[in-house]
Amino acid sequence: MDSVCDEVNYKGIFKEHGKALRNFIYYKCGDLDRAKDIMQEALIKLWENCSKVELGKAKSFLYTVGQRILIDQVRHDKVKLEFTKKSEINTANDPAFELIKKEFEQKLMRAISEMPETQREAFLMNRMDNMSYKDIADALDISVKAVEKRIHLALLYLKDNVKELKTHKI
Amino acid sequence: MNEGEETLLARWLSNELTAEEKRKLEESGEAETLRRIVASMETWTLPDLAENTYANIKSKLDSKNEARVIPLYQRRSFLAIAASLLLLVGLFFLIRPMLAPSAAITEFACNAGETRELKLPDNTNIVLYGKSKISYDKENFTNDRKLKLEGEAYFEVNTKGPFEVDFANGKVNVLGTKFNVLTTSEEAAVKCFEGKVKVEVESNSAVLVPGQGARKTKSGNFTEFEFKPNVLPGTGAYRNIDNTPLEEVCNTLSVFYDIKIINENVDLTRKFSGEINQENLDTALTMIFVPMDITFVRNQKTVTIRNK
Repeated sequence: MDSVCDEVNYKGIFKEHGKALRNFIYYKCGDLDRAKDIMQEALIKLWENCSKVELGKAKSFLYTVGQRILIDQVRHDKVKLEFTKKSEINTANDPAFELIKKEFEQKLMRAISEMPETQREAFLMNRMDNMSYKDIADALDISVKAVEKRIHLALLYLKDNVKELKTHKI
Repeated sequence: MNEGEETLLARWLSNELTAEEKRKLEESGEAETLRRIVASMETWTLPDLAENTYANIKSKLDSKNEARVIPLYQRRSFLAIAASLLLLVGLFFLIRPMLAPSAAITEFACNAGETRELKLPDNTNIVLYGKSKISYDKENFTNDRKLKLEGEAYFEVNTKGPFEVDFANGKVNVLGTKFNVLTTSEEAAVKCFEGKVKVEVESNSAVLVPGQGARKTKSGNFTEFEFKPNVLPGTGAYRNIDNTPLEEVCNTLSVFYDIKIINENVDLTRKFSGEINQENLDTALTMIFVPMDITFVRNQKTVTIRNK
């Protein structure tokens, strides 16, 4: 019988979900160190409850516990998310263009940080962690439709908030 | 708002729009903005987890398991303090096994068809092959380096001092060395790659230096043999086997892939030199038996071999 208490399975769960879980907490609080700590705490809780959690439910257990730990820890109203760039392709573009692009991205990051939390997390899980709507639904224990609604609202929010840059030629 | 409108943009993102919806979105110019947003985010990333993250989690779990001493309320009288301390210490040793009966034994297991590398608290590196496992008393390990092995493992003991591996019918004692131990319930084969290894199996013993090995077969024979120690077993797709009796090659396969090999009429003292494929059982069987004119028939986890 496949159990979470089997270390091979447990380690597999860590490998598959560890990073995405850390990212998820980060999307909610904007603090990478805190996110890292909470991810580890959630994994510890999973091991401690390993005999009570079915292998297939481990992912949603982790996400639920992670959220709960975060709520217990800190009341956060404002978050500021920052992302790093993957290796840049040398575009040799004109500096004015680069500047506009950079401004756009900063506006975008700010808008993402300011949008409602539930929309933000679903949107980033899809965009950053490459999770399908079904994956997200499983992790958050909601329906696929609910995920779609949140992502729709996220895109709507962004579209409206970065609209003013549309007039620039990018 | 109709149903589809609430999820429109999400479906745009996952490319699940109807032709009509797509057209409308393009015409409004909104699709353009959305594309720009998505394109920007393509280049964003967050840092990977640190290499030692899993190890960190494990060590936090281990420290949670340790028994804690509950201090007694301090009394003024010196004698009373001494007496209560003594009582406390006595109690502690009494209840420690009850508090965490299995906390001391740490076990590492590996699955059939895989290899698993791990490091012990004393910096010893171990590779487990296939369905194998080791267990040891974590609390006492630094003082008394002893562990139990089932199956097969390769060891690199990096620090000086005695180190012991116990298995079904014997044990290996080493002093800072590299060695391989293959065990089944009745047989054992030990190879010394570096340093010095003392093997004891039932009533036999041997001291091995690099290039020497000792094995005990089912028939009861305990023999020493030589092999080329310059190629370490490793964890890659292939494991090198040098001049080894088929019986032992079969044991290696049985342990690694968790299978049972039934021999009809093959002389298992025949020697095999070659490689064991660690990724695919059928390939491994083909590469070993076909060149030796042995046919094999595989039925799930049972393989029957006979002379051609």
